Amino acid sequence: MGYDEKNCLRKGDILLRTRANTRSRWWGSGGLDLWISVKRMAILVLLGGFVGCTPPPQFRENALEWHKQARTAGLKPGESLPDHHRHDVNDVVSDWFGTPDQPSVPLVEGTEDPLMQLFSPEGLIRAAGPVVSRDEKSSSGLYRRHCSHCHGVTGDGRGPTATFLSPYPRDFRLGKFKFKSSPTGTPPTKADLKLLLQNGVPGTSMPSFRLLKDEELDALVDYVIYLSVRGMLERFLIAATRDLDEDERLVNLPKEMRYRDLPAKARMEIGVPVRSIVEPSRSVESDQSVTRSEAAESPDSKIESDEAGAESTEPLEQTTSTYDPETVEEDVTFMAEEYLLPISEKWLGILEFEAKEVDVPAWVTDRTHVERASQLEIGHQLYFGTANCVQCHGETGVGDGQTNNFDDWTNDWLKVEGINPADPEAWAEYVNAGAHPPKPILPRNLRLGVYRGGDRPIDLFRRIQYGIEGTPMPASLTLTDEQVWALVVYVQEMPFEPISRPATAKKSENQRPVR
Amino acid sequence: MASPNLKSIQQSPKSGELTTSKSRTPLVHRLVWLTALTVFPLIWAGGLVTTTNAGMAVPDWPGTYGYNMFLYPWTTWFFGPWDLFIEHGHRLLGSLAGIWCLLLVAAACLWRSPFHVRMLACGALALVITQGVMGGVRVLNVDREIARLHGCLGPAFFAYLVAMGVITSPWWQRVATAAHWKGPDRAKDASATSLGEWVKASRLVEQRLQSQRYMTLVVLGLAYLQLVLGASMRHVPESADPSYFRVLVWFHIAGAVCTAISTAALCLTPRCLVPGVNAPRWLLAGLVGLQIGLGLGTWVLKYGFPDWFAEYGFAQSHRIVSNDFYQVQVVTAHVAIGSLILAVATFLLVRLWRAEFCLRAFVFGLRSEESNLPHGTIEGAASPNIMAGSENLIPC
Repeated sequence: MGYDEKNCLRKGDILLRTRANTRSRWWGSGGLDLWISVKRMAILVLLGGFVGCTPPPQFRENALEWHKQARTAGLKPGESLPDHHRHDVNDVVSDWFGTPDQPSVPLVEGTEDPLMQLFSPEGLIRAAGPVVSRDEKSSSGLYRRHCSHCHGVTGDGRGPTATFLSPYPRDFRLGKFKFKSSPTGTPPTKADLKLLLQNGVPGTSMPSFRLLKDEELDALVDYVIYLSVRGMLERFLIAATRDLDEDERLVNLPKEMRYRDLPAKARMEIGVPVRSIVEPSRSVESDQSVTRSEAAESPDSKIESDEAGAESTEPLEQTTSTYDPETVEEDVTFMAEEYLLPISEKWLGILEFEAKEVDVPAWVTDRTHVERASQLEIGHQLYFGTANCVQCHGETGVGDGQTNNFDDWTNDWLKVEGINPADPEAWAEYVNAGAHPPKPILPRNLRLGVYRGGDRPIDLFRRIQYGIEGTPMPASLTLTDEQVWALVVYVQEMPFEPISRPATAKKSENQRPVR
Repeated sequence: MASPNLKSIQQSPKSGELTTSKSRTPLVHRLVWLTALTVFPLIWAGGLVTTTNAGMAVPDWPGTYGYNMFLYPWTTWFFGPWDLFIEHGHRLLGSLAGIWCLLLVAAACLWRSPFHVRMLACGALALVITQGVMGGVRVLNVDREIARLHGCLGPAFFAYLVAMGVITSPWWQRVATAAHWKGPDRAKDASATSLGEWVKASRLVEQRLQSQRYMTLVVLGLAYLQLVLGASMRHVPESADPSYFRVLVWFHIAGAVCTAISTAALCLTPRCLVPGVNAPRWLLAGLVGLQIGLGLGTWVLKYGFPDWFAEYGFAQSHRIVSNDFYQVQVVTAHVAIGSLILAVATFLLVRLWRAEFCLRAFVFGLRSEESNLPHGTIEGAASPNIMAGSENLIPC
C-alpha cells in the first residue's frame, strides 16, 4: 500500500476514535470525526505543508544473505541472483509475517496452529508498531521504543547505533542466542530471554530492562521470537533460490507477475492462512486479531505487503487465467512444510523443555567448606587439562589465549570464501551488503570476576556445560556435573588467586596487568 | 587644533547620549525573564519526554484523552504512569509559556513599548504558537521528523527570549548613556588627558569587543549546530542505516571539540572592563566544560564504555539500566545544558554587539564634537604618537 498523507494521519485518528468509544463527552463520535478533519486541515494550512510525513519503517530484506548466496553460487562481484527470486522471497515472507506496523502469523496447521503459542497476539500488539499509547496505562510499540535503535526494526542487528557498539547487537535472524539454559543448537526458552532482558549484559551496551513490567518483558520476548522466526525463514528461502534455474521460481507464476499482486482472497485460498495481528480497519482496542479468512470477508479490510505496492483489485477469475492456482498452492505449501515447519517445530520444542534440575553442591556456595580446597584443585587441573579452558582464556585467565576467533554472526559470511578478516578490501563488499566489519571475539578475562551471562553459580555452570551459542566457547560434553562444578569453583576463585601461581604463569607475555 | 581636556568632556551633559530611559518598560522586561524561566524547565521536560520516549503517551492533541487539556483530571495525571505525567506536564508547561507570551504582547502594547520591543514580543508569541502546533502535529502524525524540528526550535525560542531579555533590560539603556563610557571609574587611571588619546584607546576597545563578538558568534553557531546534531541523533529514524548515525556522532564529537576550542579562545581574550560582558564568558566556558562531561556521561550511561576500557574491571562490570534515574537525568541534562549554552552565548553576543555599537556611537559623537568631522570619519583621526602609552586608558 502506498504511503500518503492520509495514512500518515491515520494512526492518531484511530487512537482518537478509540478514546471516542469510551469518552465522547466533548464531541460525540460523529463530532469527533468532524473535529479531526477540521484540525487536520488547520494544521496543514498552518504549517504550509513544509513538514512531510516520515514513511513508516519496513522490514529490510536480508541483502547480506542474498550476496552470500550469490557468491556461493559462483557469481562474480556485482552479479546477483535473479530479481524474480528476490521478489518471491520478499513477497512470501511479507505475506506471512506482515509488516512492522501490522505483523501477522502464518497458520500452516490451520487456525489452531501451535505457532501462536510462541508469540501471543497480545504480546505482538504491545511490542510491534510505532510507539503509541492506547490508554493512560499502557502503550504499544515496545520494540521500537527499547530495542530497534540497536537491533534494527528487522532484528538484523543493524539499528542506527549498531556500528558503535561492542559487541555488535545480535542479529536475531540466525536464531542463535548466547545465554540460555537450553542445550547447544536449540533455541532459548522464553524464561532465558526474559532473564536476559531483566539483567542486561554487563560490560556491553545491552541494558537491563528491570524497570519494565512483567507483561512488557513478555511482549518483547514474543516479538524477538517472531523476528527470529521470520528472519530464519527468509534465510532458508534465500538459500533455496540458489539451487533454482534462472527461469524457475519459488512460486510458479508468470515471470512478470509477483506473488503479492494476487488478490488477498486468492492468496487466502491457495496460500497459507495468515493471522493478522493488527487489523487496519479495527481499533487497536478491539479484539486483537483475526485470521485472513475473516479479513477477506470484511469489505474494508486490507492485507499489506512489505513494500509500497498497490493491492491488486483484479477479480480472482481474471488473475487465475494467467497462472495455475494448483501449482502455486503446491509451491506455497511446499515452502511452508519444508522451511517454515522445521523452524516452528524447533522453537515449539523448547516450550516443552525444562532445564535440568541441578543441585548446587554446598562447597560451591560455602567458601569455608572443607571440600572446597580439593575441588579447587580439581578445577585447576581441568582448566589446564581435560576442559582445555587455557587455550582461549590463557594460562593466567586474563583472556589472552586464542584471540583471533570470530562469532557465528561473522563467520556466517566470513567463511564462505575464506575471506581474510585482516584485509578490509576482501570484506568490503559484504559490509556494503549489510555485514558489520569483522571484530574478533575476545575470551573473557576471568580475573575480573565479571560474567556476562550471569554471575550465579548456576549461570556459570550452564555456560560451561552448554557453552555459549554462536561463539567459540564450546559445550563441555565430556565433563560430569561434578567436574563442571569444580570448574565453576575454580573460575569463581580466579579473581582472588595470585597471578604468580607457578603452575599458571609460565609465559611472561601472559602476565598482563590486572586492573 | 588642540584637543579638549577629558574632564571637560566628562562634564558634557549630552555627549554620546543615545537613548533615554523613558523607552524602557520594566514590566515587559520582567515578563520576558519570567517566560524564559518557564521555558528552561519546559526544555528540560521536553528532553525528558524524548529521553523516555514518552512523546506518544497522550495520543490526541490539543486535548488529552478527549478532555480539554486544562480540565484533565489532575489525579489521573499526577498519580498516573510516568509517561503520561511527563508528557501532559510538558503540555501544561508549554501552555503556561504561551500564556506568558500573550501577556507579554499585551504588556508591550498597553505600556507603549518601543516598536522593536512590540515586534519582538509578537515574534515570541508566533514562535511559541509554532512550537506548540509542531508538538501537536508530531503527536497526530506519530512522526519523529517533526519531533526533531520541535526539538530544534525549542532552544532557539529560549535563546530568542534571552536576547529579548537583554534588549529590554536596564543595561541596554545604561550602556547607551555617555556616563557609561566616560564616568569617573573609566577616567581616574588615565595618564593621558587629551581627547585624541581617549578616542584612540576607545578604538582599541572597540576592536576587542568586535573580535569577542565574532568569537561569540562562532560559539553560538557551533552550539546551535550541536543542538541540531543532538536532536537528529535523539530522533534518528528507526530504520536509518548505521552509517547515518555514525556520521552524526562523529560530527557531534568534532563540533564539541570546536566549541570547546572557540570558547577557550573567547575566554583567553583580554578582560574587558565594560560591565556585563566578562562574566558570561566564564559562565559559557563552565557550561561547555560541564556539557562535555555530560556528553561523555550520556554515552557511558546509554551505550557503555568504549573498547579501550576492556581491561578495566569497572567498565566490564558496568551494567546499563534502561531509563533508570541516572540515565534519564544525565541524558536530559545534556540536552538542557546545550540550550543553556545557546542562551548564554546569545546573551553575550547581544551585549557585545550593543556595547560595541554604543562605544562606536559615543566615540563618533566625541570626534564630531571635537573636530566637526563629517559623519563616519573617526578612523585614522589620531596620530601614532598619541597611541603610545595609551593602554591605561582602555576601559577594556
